[in-house]
Amino acid sequence: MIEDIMLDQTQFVTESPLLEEVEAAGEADKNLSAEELKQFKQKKLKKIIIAVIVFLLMALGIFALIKLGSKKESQEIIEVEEIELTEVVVGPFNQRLLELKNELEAADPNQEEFPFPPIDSSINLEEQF
Amino acid sequence: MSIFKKTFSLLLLISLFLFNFSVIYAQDSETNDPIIYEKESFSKDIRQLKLQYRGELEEYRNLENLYLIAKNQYYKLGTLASLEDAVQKTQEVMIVRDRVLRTYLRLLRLKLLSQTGIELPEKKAAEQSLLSAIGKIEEHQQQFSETLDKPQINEISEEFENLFDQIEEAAYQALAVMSIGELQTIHDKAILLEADMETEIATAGGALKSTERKRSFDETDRLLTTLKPEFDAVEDVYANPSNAGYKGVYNSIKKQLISIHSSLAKALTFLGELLKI
Repeated sequence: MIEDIMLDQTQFVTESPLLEEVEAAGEADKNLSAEELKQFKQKKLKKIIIAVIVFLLMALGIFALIKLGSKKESQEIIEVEEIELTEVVVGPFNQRLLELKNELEAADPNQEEFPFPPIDSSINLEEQF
Repeated sequence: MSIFKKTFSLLLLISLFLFNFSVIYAQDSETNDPIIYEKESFSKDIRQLKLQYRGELEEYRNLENLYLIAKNQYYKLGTLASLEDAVQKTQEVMIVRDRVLRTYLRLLRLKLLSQTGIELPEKKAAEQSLLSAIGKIEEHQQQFSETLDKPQINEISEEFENLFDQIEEAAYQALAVMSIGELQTIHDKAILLEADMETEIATAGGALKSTERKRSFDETDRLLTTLKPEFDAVEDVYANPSNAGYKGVYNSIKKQLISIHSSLAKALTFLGELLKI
């Protein structure tokens, strides 16, 4: 039983397989040659450049879409303004004229709105039939 | 920070910058124009009184038929029971008749007050006549608070005939002044519209159109101007009623008002044509 337990910590650390792997990986970078390191950095730079290009393209795309939308809007506004300008001159007069025509129709002397009520003014019990 | 996080943040910032943000303001609260409010209030009251008047007139017609039947029965049979029924029916129809007339005069008063284009003294005088007649009807209504017999019914009937003349006078005075006022208002508005149109569109378009417009404006102007003496004549008849009273005035000015109405319709058609040149 006592033989199965490793009391020597130094020996345990050196023999631990996990720590061996970590150390191996960490040491791999250190163990890279100058040329390999240069290649690694170039790869990283390439990735960054590609990401920036993609981003710029996306930003340009969005910008172009927005510009297109605002152009359409401004065209519509110009059209509406043109219509409004013509209506500004004639529109209110037409409206006033229409109102006057309606008023005139209501004021026709041939059509009495409130004629005197048709009532018998001589109701009594004297009259003989 | 990883490159993807950086890209995302930058994209977000640019998007926020590129998009337009607009702030929508709440609409201003509705304007409480006292004139508009007053007009709306009048229209509402007039509508209500119109409904009331129609209902009362309908009730009166039914009761009048019943009164005529009962009176006929009384003179045919001559019994006390038929007399009692005739007295009751006569009283009932008289009560509703007063109600109909009172509501009618109140309706006319509201219509008169809501109408523009009438000189204030004329409006006041017509309103005063209506109020006086309404007061007399209310006094007359008091007489029906008790059950009446045949002589009392006949006495009230005689009194009513005098009152009826006053009611008719007040009603026709209001009807006459309102019918003049309505057309006078339209005439005034048409003159204003023509003047505004002349200022705004007379010079628009080419020289050819301007000349055409000028001739058309002159013709419309002539037509509207000729209506002034016609209005003066109508006003004169109204201001000096003959022995026939305001009922006579109302009937005699009707022809003149029809002629004015037709000229105004022509002037408005001219203005409509002018807008199309």
